[in-house]
Amino acid sequence: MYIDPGAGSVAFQILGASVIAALSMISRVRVAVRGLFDRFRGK
Amino acid sequence: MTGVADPGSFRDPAGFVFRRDGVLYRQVNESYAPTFDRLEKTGFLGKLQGEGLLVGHEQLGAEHGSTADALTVLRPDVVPFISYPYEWCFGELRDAALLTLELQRRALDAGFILRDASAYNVQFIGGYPVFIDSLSFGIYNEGQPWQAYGQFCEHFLAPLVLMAEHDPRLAAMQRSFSDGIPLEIASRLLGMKTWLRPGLMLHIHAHAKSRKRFEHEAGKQRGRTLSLAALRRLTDHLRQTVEGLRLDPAGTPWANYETEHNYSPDAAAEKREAVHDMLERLKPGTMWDLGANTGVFSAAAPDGTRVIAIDGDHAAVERHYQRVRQQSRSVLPLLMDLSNPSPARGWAHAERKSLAERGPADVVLALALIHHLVLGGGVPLSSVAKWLSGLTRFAIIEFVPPDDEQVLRLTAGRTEATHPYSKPDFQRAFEEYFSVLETRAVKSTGRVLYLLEKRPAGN
Repeated sequence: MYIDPGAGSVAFQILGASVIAALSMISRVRVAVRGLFDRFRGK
Repeated sequence: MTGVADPGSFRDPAGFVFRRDGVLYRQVNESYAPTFDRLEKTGFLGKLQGEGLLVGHEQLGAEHGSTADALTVLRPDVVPFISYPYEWCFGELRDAALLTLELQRRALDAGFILRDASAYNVQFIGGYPVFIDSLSFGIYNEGQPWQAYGQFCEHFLAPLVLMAEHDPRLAAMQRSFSDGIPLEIASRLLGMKTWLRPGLMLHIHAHAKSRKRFEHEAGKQRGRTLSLAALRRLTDHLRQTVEGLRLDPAGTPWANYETEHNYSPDAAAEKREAVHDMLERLKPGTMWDLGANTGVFSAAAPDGTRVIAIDGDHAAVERHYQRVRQQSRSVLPLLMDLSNPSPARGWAHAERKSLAERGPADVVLALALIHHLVLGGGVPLSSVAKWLSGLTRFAIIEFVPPDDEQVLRLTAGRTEATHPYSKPDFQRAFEEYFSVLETRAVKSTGRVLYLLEKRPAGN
């Protein structure tokens, strides 16, 4: 059915998708660093 | 036009739902032809139907159309009982949200996209959410943003977050806001700690601010693009956010009523057996269990009975729903204050039906409910009897005497007189609308079960 997408929602999902990508990258880096740290400590 | 258009189906230029000779049909209009052709060629709808995610349908052809611009006509499988998002508990709304996101994910994989994300596109069949709008899919064009993103957040995410993080009773707000709870209201109601959760900070708070910022600049956003990968990430992040929401179904006295009621084990067993016997005799096709709590007596319905189990306590309904999901039973638990049942709503009071309009049921079960309506809700017995007679042919009602512990608890501290409430008052009120077929005392409780049949009109 027809809906009003809302200009703010259109603008935001473009920004939001970039933020989500950044958050995902940070999360992956955190996991990788933790893995390295654990390996260094011999866990 | 042949057939009667469904009063709740008028917004979509792609088609509409209508009835002819009591049968429900969905007309697909010529304007939807390019999309429908591709849906047909890819077999996308059939795959979803095969997995129980989309309601099944039989395609009949344009000759069955209601208007001249019919491309084809579908006869959808019957949904036994239409319920609305403002009647769902947290778990039901959450499962409907996850279904919608799963369909969006699959649509993107197949070259389509959800054109809308209305919670009213979902119904519950056999304890599971099913998408009912076959025309909600559009052809995906590379770079297009999801036009239903805002609607998804307002129909699903905002009420779910308010229920989980603020108060489950805020589900009732959905009754007032027919197109979802506005994000700026949700954002204002939520506490500061929700800003620290990435999903809520993004999809509720920052999203609300963006809507405010751009509310008068609709034209400027045309032509903005979003890659398919980014759209998939957005959909996946919404799913993670919804999955991360939890509501503990506890903290209300009614959620624990099943284990904390004031019956002896013998009396409870006898009551269950009596209700079961009465229902076995009636063998109803549909039963409405009013004041169902966690559904102990809904389970007494004979196999094959479709049960609608209504209660006003969110924790009790939530527990009932979780149990139904585990057992895949034909029971639909709904959240509703029976002293203020769902009215007709929407455009021309006709888009969403009242509870009474969705009946009648073959049997209404109202166990230990009447004293709540009379003494708690202030509704006179005669009015309760009249209302129930409009909902059903047969009724099984448990009368709880005025000296019962539950009644005394309800009236403790009252200084003003209540409506008349005694066994003779009850019988007088109900015999105006019903014939008494049978009565059974519940052992050592003073309570009585009545099996009633509605009197024919004019008697």
